[in-house]
Amino acid sequence: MDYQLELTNVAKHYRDFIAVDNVDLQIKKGEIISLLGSSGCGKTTTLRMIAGLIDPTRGTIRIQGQNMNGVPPHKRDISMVFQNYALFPHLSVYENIVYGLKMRKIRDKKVLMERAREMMDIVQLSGVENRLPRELSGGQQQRVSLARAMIVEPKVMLFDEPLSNLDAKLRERTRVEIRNLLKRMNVTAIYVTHDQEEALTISDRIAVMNKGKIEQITVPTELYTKPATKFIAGFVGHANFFEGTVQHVDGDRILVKSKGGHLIQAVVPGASQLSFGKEVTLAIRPENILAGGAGENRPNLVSGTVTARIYLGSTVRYLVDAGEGKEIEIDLQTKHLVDCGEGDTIHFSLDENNLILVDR
Amino acid sequence: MKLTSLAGKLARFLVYLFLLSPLLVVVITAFSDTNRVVFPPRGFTLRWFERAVHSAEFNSSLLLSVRIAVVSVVIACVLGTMVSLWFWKSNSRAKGIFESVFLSPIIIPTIISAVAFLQYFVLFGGLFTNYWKLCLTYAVIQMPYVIRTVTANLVGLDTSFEEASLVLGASPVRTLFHVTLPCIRQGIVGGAVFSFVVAFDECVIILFMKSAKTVTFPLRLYSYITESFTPLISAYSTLFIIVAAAVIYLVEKKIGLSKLY
Ligand SMILES: Nc1ncnc2c1ncn2[C@@H]1O[C@H](COP(=O)(O)OP(=O)(O)OP(=O)(O)O)[C@@H](O)[C@H]1O
Ligand SMILES: [Mg+2]
Repeated sequence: MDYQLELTNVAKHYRDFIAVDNVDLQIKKGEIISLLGSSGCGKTTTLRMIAGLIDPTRGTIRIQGQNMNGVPPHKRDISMVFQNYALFPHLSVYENIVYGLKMRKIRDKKVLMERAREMMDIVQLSGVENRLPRELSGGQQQRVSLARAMIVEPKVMLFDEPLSNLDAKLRERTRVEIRNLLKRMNVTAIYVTHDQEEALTISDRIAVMNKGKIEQITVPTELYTKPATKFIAGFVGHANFFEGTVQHVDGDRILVKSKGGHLIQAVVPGASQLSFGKEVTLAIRPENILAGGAGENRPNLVSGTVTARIYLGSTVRYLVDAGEGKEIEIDLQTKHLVDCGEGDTIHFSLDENNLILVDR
Repeated sequence: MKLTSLAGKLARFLVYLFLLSPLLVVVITAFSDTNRVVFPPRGFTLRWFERAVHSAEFNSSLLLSVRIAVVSVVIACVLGTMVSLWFWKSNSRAKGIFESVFLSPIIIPTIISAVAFLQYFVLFGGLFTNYWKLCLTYAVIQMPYVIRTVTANLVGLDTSFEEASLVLGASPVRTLFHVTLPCIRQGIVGGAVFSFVVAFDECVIILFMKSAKTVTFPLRLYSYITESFTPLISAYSTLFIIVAAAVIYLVEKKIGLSKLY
């Protein structure tokens, strides 16, 4: 199989610290993959190994099938957008943009001018070509660094949190633009970020990293609805967890007795592989918890004391103390607001179709 | 409020006066129409300047000093920049030791360096002419100045510039010339200016290592002054003050020397 970029068993150790642990990744031509994870999980390290800026301790990295081990960065035919942009401070915007072309031995002034103009039109930078980087706004600098990396038509383009220095509005707009641009030029890209929203918008697939490992690679929609692990469910969006043991299995339907003593019934794919007595973790999103159910006697009913009520606009989030130190987050549509304040008892039920079985 | 700012201005003026008055005296005496340097000057003449410009002895010494200074500055800048880059990149434990070694010429009294160089060239002197001995010696003395200014520049330099260059397809050598060196240009030029001055007015080492062919400008001035103390000396000094001020002004304007500190 021909992948544009393939990582096999790649690891990076610093003395006895494992920064990246056995990462496997296959990326097709034109695909955009995000590496998503919290600070220190090894995203930048992975990216820099692909760039050739650091050597992996173990494993192989292939670009278009060619083994890149030992190949220096400048021979990998890649490019990178840095968090701080790293625009050459002594070169004009134009010189910055054509730098990669010049290093690829394109000397013809006309060709350089033309390619630069084309690129600057695309990223809407026309008119500032003779300025120095420090004479640009943050957003403009970001565009220059994008143009500089994109103009060389790299085999793989790497992004290391390129939007983290922009304000929120600009960030939202730019990430859509970056995606459109990458798709239009059919560029293969790896996009490192710790911002889940950014990852969800920009990528075809998201690889969630935790402690140096990739925990799950999947398309954005599934990451939210089908998180594979407890970490991911908690990292991408909010989630409540119920740990317990399986009491009964019937097809896709399982009955779990939680540690807090609640009986929870859930419909989960793959349930038939579970058996009585197995320890499992169920997750549920705050918006899939429904208010009501006082006085009824059926599974999935929980009650607790409201400790906080947070108004979020279209929804209201309740933090509920469900006993034994268990805090549960519930999101209710503002229009379905129940009359319930801090200190009151609230009754709610867990939607059996929206409970998710996660690892650990 | 007003009073304190006035007092501040006055204090500043006095400090400048204190610093500059020796120079002023020199400049003023250069115009004295007497055969000895006297202050206050008597009469007014430009003949000392005319003499200064036409003296063959002084001019050849001047040329020699410039040649030695330029060659030694080039050597010191190339080596000093290389050493600084190594310090910048290396995490090696030996770095600390090398740092003190390379900076030692600033700390060691010049007279001791002079004796050391003299002895060194007694051993290996046959390999070099006296001119090259002086160039090499000065290069060693100047290197710490270059290392300090270049290192000051490198400390603030983000490594991602180099990485960006490499990733965009430039080899390490091209990265050095297209990115790293231009980024530390200020430090190199600053170091060059300082070390030029160091080489140009050096008086101790040259006393130990001079030969008939290598009478540098400071040495010429010195031996002239011991024989006759005419305003010619002041005229030369004045010319130098003007040239030095012009150079500092230009460098400051072009690259901003003050940024180095
Ligand atoms: N040169 C190094 N020596 C030792 N440890 C290192 C080195 N470089 C990185 N690490 C460690 O490796 C881990 C992963 O670092 P990395 O920079 O890849 O994190 P990251 O996922 O990019 O985090 P962030 O979101 O904060 O940028 C961190 O715990 C870091 O301390
Ligand atoms: Mg990082």
